[in-house]
Amino acid sequence: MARYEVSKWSVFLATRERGRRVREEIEQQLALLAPGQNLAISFTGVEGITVSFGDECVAKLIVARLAGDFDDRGLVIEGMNIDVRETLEAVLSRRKIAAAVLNAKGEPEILGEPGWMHETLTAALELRSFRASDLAARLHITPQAANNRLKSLVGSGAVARERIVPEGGGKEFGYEIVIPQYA
Amino acid sequence: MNDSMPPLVIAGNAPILSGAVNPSSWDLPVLDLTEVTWVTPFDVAALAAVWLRLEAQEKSPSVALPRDSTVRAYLVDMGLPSFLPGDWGDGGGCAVEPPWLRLTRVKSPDAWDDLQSELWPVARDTLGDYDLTQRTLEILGELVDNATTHGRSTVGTFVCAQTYTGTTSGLPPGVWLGIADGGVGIPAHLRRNPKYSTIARDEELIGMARREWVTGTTDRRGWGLVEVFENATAAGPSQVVIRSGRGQGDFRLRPDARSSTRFTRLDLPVPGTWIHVRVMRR
Repeated sequence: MARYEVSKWSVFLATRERGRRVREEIEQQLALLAPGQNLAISFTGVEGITVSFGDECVAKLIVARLAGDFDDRGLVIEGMNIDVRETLEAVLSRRKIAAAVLNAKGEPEILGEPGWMHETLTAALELRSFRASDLAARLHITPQAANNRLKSLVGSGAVARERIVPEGGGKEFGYEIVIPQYA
Repeated sequence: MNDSMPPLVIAGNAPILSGAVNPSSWDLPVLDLTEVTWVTPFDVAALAAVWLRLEAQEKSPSVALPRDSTVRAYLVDMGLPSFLPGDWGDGGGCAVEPPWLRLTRVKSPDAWDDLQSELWPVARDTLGDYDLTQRTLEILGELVDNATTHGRSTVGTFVCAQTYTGTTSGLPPGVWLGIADGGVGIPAHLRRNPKYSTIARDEELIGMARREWVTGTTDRRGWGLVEVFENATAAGPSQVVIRSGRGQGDFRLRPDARSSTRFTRLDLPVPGTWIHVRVMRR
């Protein structure tokens, strides 16, 4: 797994401009990965961040993934102290988006909103490699609802998606968990 | 500049922050600090912004130094002589502990971020409390980010910070921050957004600037001041004074209680944005 260390910049990250620069470096790292691989953004050693930095760096990465950027590879945030985690949670919740994170025990979680993301991640971790219809069956929801949830889950970085051609023809996406240890 | 014009007299305690200074113009030929008796980081940052703005226009005023040696020493400790001319002396002899952030001219957001590795341990050692350090640096970070992006100018942004025991001010022990820029100011910045372009009163726009998603840009943003107020409230009782254009907002913030706000229309527009933050130090 590739890892990007945010602390190489500073112990405290303040401005949107710095957030943009860090995000651009992360995007460069993502571009070097093969589909299905994962990049961990490590906040180990970072004492604090501002909301503006978090929004420009992390939230905009997620927004770009929701629009399709690098959605065939994974992204997970790790090494956050309580302050960094609270700030990122506020940033993500305000935009009604979510990010995949590893908690202090190294277990995957969802940070941000909406609330149903947590059970969706749990189901995806059990399925590992799946289609929207599999998730719909697991969660007892409609295929349309499963597709909507998967869009957010791909955005969070926990899952990568790739276009596949089903046996009967047409277009469909295949989904795969890309969180390290679970992939 | 016309030498027959009156000097800009800055006198008394916290002269600019208190509003006691009411000049006819900020563009005067002499900056008279002779009768200053006590200054806050807000006053120091504002003085630097006023002087540097005039210097950038090649209209540098002469400076009459404070008569009081302890005030002069404090301003030396604060770093003002790095920007204002005069025979200030070497400092020392001031009863107030040196500032933990001397007056710093920040020319870009990156320059502020580059300071953080040095500033964090100093703030942590001085403020002692981890939570207060976090909140203080978040407040400074958001304010300097705003100033160096939306308020960007050749003047730059001036920032300084001091802890006070409260002996002189009579206020609870606290952390005082001063941030001043020479940019377009908050009201003019917000009017760039068509949603706010018809709002005439500057003080109304200052009040709006602390609301979520209110921004002068076309970006989906507008969280900086919201965070400043959230942090200042949580660390309260706190005070935030925002002076920009013809408006001032004076916000008194308390955790678990309603804040009180007083808006004032200024006779003389502030050339940029000047902000004072005081948070309690427990």
